[in-house]
Amino acid sequence: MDSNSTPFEQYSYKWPVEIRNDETGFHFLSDLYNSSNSIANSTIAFDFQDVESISLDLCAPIGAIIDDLRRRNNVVNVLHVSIPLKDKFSANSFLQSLFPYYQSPIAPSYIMYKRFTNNEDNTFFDYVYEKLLNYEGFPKMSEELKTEITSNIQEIYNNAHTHGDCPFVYSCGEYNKEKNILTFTIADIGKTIRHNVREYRSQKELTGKECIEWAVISGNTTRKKNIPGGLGLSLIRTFLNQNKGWLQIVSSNGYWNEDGSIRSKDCDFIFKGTIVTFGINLSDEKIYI
Amino acid sequence: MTTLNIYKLINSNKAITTDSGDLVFKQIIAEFDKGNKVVLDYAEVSFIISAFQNAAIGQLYGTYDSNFIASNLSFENLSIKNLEVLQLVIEAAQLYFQDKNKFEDGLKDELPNE
Repeated sequence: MDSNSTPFEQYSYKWPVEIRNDETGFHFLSDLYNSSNSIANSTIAFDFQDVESISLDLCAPIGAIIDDLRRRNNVVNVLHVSIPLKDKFSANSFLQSLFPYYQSPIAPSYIMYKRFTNNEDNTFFDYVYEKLLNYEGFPKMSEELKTEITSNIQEIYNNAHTHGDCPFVYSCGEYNKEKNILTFTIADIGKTIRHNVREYRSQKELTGKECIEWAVISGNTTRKKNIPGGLGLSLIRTFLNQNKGWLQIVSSNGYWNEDGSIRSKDCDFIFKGTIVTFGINLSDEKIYI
Repeated sequence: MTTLNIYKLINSNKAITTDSGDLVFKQIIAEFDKGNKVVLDYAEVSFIISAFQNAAIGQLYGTYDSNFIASNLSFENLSIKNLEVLQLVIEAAQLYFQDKNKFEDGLKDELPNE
C-alpha cells in the first residue's frame, strides 16, 4: 500500500492479486481503511491492476470504506479493473451504486450490492426475501427454509443498525453454484463489538476476541434501554449449525469463525466496524417447522 | 379478555422491527392497565424475528413480574419454531432485567469510539 499524508494530493492504493472473505482479506481491508481514514479533500485511487479474484460479498465492506472516504470529501476512483471483474462488479450493481456515471452493459444479477439506512428494515427484508431468495437460478427451496434464511439475515441486519450505531449498513453476496452455497456479508463502520462489550461490562481490558465470544452467547446483549436482546447471533448460529453452513465475524481486532467448530483469535489488525459473513447451504432439505 | 391481532396492529405480515414490536408492547400495557387479560393472535403473520418479540414481549418483564405475565398473557397461531424463539425471548428478558441493575451500576464512563 502506498500513501502519504499531504492533503490535496493524490493517493494510490495497490490491491493484491486475490482478496477473499478470510482473515487475510480482512487484514488488507482493515489496513486500507486505517491508512486512509485521516485523508480528506483528496483524490484516492484504488488500483486493481494486479487483482485477479475477489469474493464478491466483500463489496459490502469495500462500499462502506469508499463511502467513509467520500464523507471526508475525497474523490475515489477504482482503476485498472479487469474486464471479467468489471462484469461481476457491474452485475451485482456495485459499480453503478458507487459510480452513478458508470453505465452497465449487463443486466443486474440476483445478489445485489446494497446500502441501507436505519429505517429501511422492510426494504432490506424485501431485498432478501422477494429478490434474492426467489431468484430462479437458485435451487428450489422450501418456503420454510426461505423463511428461516430471511429471518436470520434480518436478525443480523437489525444487530448491525442497533449496535453499530451507524448511518448505513452494507450488504452483498455471492452464489457458488458448484457448491450450492450462498455467501452473504453485512458490514458497517460503526461501534465495534469490542467497544460495546467493553463499555457495557466496564472491562476495558477485554480483547476483540473475548468480546465477540461473549456477544455470540444467547441472551448476552449490550443494550442499555428497556428492550432486551441478545438473540440474533445465537439464532443464526443455531440455524447455520443445522444447515451445515458457517459464520464469520470480524470486529475491531477480533476474529471469530464457526464452521462445525469454533476458531477465534485476536488479530494484529483492527477493523473499525463489524463484518458478519455467513455461508448458507442451499442443498439443505431439513424441515424447519 | 382482549385479543390483539398482530397483523392488524402492525398492518403487515412481517413482524421484523423493534418499532412495530414497541407498538404491540404499548397496546398490551394499555389492556393490562384496564385490568384485561390479553391474547396475542399471530394469524397471517408470516415472519417474526426476535427483535420484534423482544420489544413486544421481552420489554414487559421490565414492568411486570413473570407470574403476572404468565397469568395475563397468552398466544395464538404461533408455529413451533416461533414458540421456541418466544421461549428464548422470555428467558433472555428475565435474565436481562435481573442483571440490568447490576450492569447499570457498572456503567460509569462511555468509551470513545475506536
